Amino acid sequence: MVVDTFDRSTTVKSIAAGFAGAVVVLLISYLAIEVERVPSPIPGLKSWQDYVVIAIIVAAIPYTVLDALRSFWIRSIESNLPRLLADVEGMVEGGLSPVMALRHVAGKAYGVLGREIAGIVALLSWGYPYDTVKGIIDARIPHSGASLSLKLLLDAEEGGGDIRSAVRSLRGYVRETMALKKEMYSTTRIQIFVIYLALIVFLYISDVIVSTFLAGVVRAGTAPMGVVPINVDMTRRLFFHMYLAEVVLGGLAIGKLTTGSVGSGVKHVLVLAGIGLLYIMFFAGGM
Amino acid sequence: MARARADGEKTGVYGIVELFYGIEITDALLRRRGLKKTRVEYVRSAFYRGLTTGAVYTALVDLLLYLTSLPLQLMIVMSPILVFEGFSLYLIMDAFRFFLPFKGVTGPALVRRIMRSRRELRGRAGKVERVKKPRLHPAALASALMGSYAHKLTMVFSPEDVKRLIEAADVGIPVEYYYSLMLAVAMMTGATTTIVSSLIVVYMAGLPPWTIAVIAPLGFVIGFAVGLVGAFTYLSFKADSRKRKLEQDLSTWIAAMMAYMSSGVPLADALRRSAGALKPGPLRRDIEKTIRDMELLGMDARTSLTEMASRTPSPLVREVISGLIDAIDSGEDLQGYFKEIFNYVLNVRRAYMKKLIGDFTFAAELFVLLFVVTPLFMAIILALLGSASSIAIAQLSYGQLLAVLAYLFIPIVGIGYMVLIDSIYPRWW
Repeated sequence: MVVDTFDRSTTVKSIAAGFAGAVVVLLISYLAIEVERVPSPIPGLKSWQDYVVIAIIVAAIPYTVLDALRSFWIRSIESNLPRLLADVEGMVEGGLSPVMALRHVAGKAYGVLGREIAGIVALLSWGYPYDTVKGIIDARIPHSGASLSLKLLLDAEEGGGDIRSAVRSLRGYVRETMALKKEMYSTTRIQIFVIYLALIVFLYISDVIVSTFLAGVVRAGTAPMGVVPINVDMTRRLFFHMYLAEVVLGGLAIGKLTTGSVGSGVKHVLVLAGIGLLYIMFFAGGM
Repeated sequence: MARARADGEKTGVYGIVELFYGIEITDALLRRRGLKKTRVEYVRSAFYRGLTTGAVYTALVDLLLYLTSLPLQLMIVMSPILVFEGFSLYLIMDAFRFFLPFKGVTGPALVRRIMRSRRELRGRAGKVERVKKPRLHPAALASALMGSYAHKLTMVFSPEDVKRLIEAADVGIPVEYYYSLMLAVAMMTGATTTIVSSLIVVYMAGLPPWTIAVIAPLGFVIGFAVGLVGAFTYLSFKADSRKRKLEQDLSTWIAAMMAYMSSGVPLADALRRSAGALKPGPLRRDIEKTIRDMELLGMDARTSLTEMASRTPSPLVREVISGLIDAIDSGEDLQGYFKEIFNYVLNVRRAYMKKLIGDFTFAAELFVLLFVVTPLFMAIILALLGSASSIAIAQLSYGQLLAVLAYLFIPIVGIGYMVLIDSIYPRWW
């Protein structure tokens, strides 16, 4: 499960599934609304072009699920690692060898980490060479702190030395790194809120501009640009598409701001597109 | 083909067959391929088989041409050419039997053999196992083609700068070769720009063809200059990317060193184990090079670490390694040194984070300005401007202008915004 979730091919598959779903949504909406002239089942979405919002949501869902699974895995590792290291340090201080200590902690509730350690202990009990096990740790645990800790314990089993102080310094590293990460998250939280708010404000103001200002201009009979009169429905749709373009780019930018990865911004795209859809359905008064 | 051979008589006019085969057909070759004919017999039969194929081919094509009502005279003129075409096609196809790895197998049997051998090569995953063939490096090829002109670039790009950047980027190409590569890239971009600009001039801009004489050289000069500068800038980009990756892994490496030194492992051993603890990347490669220098080339730890510090593009990594060398020189406790340097790296990051708070606030304000204020402001202004006067942009309707905003302006600005965030975001998470 873990290996599959972090596998590159799983990422590609989830992106491909999302895109395929989006294409299907657009195709069905085009055939039903444009060709067969079936009335749209979702209030507010009149044309097949309005279904772009559904397509974006469908495209974002598979990757968001995958990203959520990954985040859950990483969070579980990060919340349990300091406790695990503290326990191992205590056991080593009590006279157990590092692998014996690992065997003892394998049965305890350390979430994902506990399960991974149980697997590693099983491999060691079957007589796997330490280098092979280290390779397996690298492949199965894509978290630098956790893999470093486990490899260090195996090295300590092989080479000996003052294991307790090694584990203690490692615990310090994990603690400090996580504290720094938390600081970083709390720093970026306000900026995320600002971007969310800005996009919602855009959605509202654009709707107000179309339904009051531009509709008023049309009623007064003064067509802007002098030549071509305004099509209010099309203008509303263009504003909504503008919002969707901002959602995609802004959501990915939020991902980059918070975790440094564009991929983790897909969930923000999903949420913001969902907000746009709800607004159109219940508040905008129909497109 | 008329020259005498040791293994048989002269083939005369039939020797023309060998021209198409591209190899000398010998009795030994035929035996190796499982054919029980002598050289002369084989060449004669191939000649007649070729002629027969040519005749059949001509008849079929002539029939087709007749059905399309082509004049008879033209068909007569074309027939010898068609005979020659069929003849040569047959001989070229027949020649494959000497290059394929299956003896004396032709036709459908050959296809079956090829398919079977592919199936045998397939692994459980259904992929064909391929042996990677050694290939000529593009830089070596460029040097062979234009190495004699490449030295002229030293007048523009100093060899010291190029050498420093090559080392920092860890490209692994000698300086002279890189100059040739730069020249080759510049020539290619120049040629591409020439072709594209000429096509634009003639087909898109609708200018008279003689303007190509002016535009094409100009396009070449611009493309050449862009290619040259691009190839040089690539090195800086690569060096910068390597620097960021080095700094990303630095804290993990220091933590690993700190832990190994705490457990009482000797320095060389700790270096080797800490390299194993890192994920594959430039820092791991650098440490592995240092270990190789110590273990295989017989350097002492101090010299090999000095080498590592000199080749790294990151000032932070250089500082850490230089500190380690000083600690070794002064006989300081290395465990204490790594603890100290770990705290130092964390403090550097904390200081950077304080700066980041300002940068992120700026990024959020910029987002509001670019994605909320600008489109809304422009939408209102365009509507008001349009109703007030018929200005030049009135050639486009209000809807078209909004479409330009939605589908062109916002995506382009959005991509620029992402690049901006990427440049300010720290790489060490």
